[in-house]
Amino acid sequence: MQGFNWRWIGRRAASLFATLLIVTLLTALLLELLPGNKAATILGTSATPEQIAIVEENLKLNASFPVRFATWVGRALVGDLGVSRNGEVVAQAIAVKLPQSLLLMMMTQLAAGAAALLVAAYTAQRPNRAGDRMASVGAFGAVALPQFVLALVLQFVFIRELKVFPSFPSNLSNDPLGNLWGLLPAVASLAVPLAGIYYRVLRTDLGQTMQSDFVTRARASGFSPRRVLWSHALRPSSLTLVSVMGLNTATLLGGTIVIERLFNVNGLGNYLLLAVQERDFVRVQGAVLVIAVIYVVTQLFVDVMLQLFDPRVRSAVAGGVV
Amino acid sequence: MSMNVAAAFRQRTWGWWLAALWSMLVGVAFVVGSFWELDLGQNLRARLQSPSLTHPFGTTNRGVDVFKLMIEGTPVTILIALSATLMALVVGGAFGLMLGYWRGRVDQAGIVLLDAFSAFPALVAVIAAVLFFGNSVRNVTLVIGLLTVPIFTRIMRSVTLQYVDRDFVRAARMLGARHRRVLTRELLPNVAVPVLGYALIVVGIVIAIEGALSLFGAGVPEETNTWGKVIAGGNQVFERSAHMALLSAGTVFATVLALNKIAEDWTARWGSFGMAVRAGAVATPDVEPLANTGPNVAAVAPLLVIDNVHTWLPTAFGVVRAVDGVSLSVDHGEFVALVGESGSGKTMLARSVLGLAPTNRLTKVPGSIRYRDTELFGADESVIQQHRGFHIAMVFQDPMTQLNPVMRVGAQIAEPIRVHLNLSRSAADARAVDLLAEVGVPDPRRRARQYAHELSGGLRQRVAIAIALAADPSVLVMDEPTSALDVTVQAELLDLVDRLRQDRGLGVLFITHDLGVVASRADRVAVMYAGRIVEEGSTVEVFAAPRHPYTRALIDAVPAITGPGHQRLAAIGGIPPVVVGPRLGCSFAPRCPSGDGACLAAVPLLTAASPGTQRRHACVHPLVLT
Repeated sequence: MQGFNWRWIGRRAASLFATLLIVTLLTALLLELLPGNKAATILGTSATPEQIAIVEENLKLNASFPVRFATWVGRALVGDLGVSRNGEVVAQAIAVKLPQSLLLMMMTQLAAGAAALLVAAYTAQRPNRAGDRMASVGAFGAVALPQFVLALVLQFVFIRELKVFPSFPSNLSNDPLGNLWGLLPAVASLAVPLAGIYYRVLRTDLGQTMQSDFVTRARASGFSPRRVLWSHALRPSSLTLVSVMGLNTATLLGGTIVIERLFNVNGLGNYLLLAVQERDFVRVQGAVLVIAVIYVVTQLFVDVMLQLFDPRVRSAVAGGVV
Repeated sequence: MSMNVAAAFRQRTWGWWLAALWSMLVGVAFVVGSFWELDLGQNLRARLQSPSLTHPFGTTNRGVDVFKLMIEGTPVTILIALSATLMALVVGGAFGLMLGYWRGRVDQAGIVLLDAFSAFPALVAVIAAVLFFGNSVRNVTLVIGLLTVPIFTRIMRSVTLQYVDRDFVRAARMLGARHRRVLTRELLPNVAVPVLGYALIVVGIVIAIEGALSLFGAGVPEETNTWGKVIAGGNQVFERSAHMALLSAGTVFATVLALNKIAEDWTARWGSFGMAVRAGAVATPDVEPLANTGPNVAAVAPLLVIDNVHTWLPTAFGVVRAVDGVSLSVDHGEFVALVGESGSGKTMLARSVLGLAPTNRLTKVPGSIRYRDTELFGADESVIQQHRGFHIAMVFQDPMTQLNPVMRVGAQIAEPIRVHLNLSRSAADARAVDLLAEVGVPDPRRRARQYAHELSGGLRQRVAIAIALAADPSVLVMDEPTSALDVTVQAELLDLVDRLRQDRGLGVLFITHDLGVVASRADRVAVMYAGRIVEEGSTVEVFAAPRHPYTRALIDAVPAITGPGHQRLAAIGGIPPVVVGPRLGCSFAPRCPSGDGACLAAVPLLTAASPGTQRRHACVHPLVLT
């Protein structure tokens, strides 16, 4: 790839790896600070002293914090996230939940991104007309809409009254299409506020680009409005949108617990919430790590995308501006 | 005083007033909920009633009035929201200010921390913290506040970064002001406005978070009532009766919406003042077009004829007559220069030729732009589109910004070839390289693969010319194409344009503020002032014997290499006017050495010095031929 700045990507990767370490360390420290005997908490109230001793030996609970943290990291690196209190292998449990969360996240991003793109492409060519003003008011309302408010309304209208969607989405592996259908209310609750944000970001940038000289020049070359928009204005206007979408990816994985709970989606967020409520540290640590890893990977992906989208970013990072 | 109130009413939108009204209602609920003991008695005979006049929000499953519950919950909800936001504002704001101010390693470390925070599933962390440390109101507030710290850190950092390199901050630092002084005296007042606007939005976010926490039973204690508690209660009876959850959640939505609206208004009010006027905002023009400035005298119609063109733009101050009855023509192989100061309307004329004037221009104005036999002025967009780039092409002033930053220059040259000439991609690419060679770009094959930011200003302008020539047009409109370049590059470019019009028979309309640039190359010169042409003729004649005092002044402002050194250049006092509303006589009169009452009596029309010539001027007191 000509001019592609791999060194900078490497630097970003290093910094994001540091991020990962900090997240893991913070989680471990927070759990460390909690009161009570760890082994007893893990095993529950009916545990015998022998069982506690075995767990303490196994998790090296009597060792100092750095040693335990290092042990945990070492195991996590080879994919061993430990065994939870109810005896399930955490890595396996997460592997089961993750596809559902990933599906929910991707459908949401796709819906919100596509809605924002299509509406912005329409209104940017007709600035200040009725459609533009309506879209701007709509986006404003969408941004202010707390997810659970929309979720309650959708639940009332489409699940309770019209019964278009089931209360429980069917299982992803048994009935993928049914699962997809059942997820739609959850996707809508997540996507509407996001679409509002994405629309505002894209419309602002697109509005500025449409005023720029090179767009006027493209029009002066006799290109159709459609060509001017899609092949000249859109790409340089989408940098902020790509960054914002990247930042939202992790939030959509771990932060959808409200929606997962209200719509009975069996995903990572719900898993994490249950783990917290049951004070199961092994599961909490594992889930947080997986979410953080996905966040980091997405950030790297976004950095690569930005360089592909805009050659100026390439030279800027090469010159050390960023 | 009443004037101010009336003005305020005019400026605010109805959305703002609704938001203000809603905020006041919440304020009243806050006071009532704080100081009055509300009757929340259970009435088991009136359980889960739908909204009615006696119970506007209906009743709970124990027959308690939901509306009263909401009012009772208002004080704690608002207090949590305000104190959590305040806490996050102080902590996150200070943190962000430091990151933006010191930058470098401090900033890098801060970014890693912020990233770590973003990677952390925040709501889960809050629920965990509340579960483990107890759910007192203080804990919930602290935890939500902590959760919103990164929001303020990010916003404060980016706002500070915008200001930290401004001159006044640098000046303060260079004068030896202490860091703390620069931060508090210079930076803080400037970043306060956008950040406070954001704080209002965060208050809304916190109210929503409190609601979400309560939904999971991780909210404030049982005995404390909040909006989130009402929503959670409603959610439990949702299957049987949805109104409680929907109405309380709707209250949260309305409050968040109101806060966002007020924040938006606040930021806009203290930001830049929008002067843009919507299309149609000016109903009827308060001005009438002037009569034609005289018929075009050429016997055979030239390639491009601009005839009595008007481009009028509505603004907050009235209708601006940017182009006001201009006639001009360009023929095959002809080099016509249009000269004038900035603000004279010459760029607007160039854009009008290609139908690129602002879309909010007034449309019911006279004028005609004919290319061969096709009328372009006011024509259908599709007709104009077929001519743009294909018959009439344009080169703009700024060599950097007129090129697409994210496209290789070769692709930008190939695009008009493919669109207008229907050539294949590979054929168009090959032609693009040929064109680059033709406009004098060395190593064209390599250059075609580069981006605009990798080229020098002179090369960029050559690329822009290659793009304009791509579909083989017959007329080239160049809007100050050399003004941003240094003198030697200017000369090279002018040689190139000169060669192109000879090789290709290209008609060139060359717009510039610099008479010196065109003196030796243009066939004809037209001088523009305040939207009108004031003098026109062959370059030799105009330079040798200008008839209009403005032309004289422009010529005198050109430094002559042959003249004595260290001679004072004759500058023209004042600035060209922007003509709004009816035209009163000659617009140059106030700056003109020979201006008098006669000049203001009527608008001087462009008249031929002698019948049948193209030597024309619009002046009551033309300079005498010497």
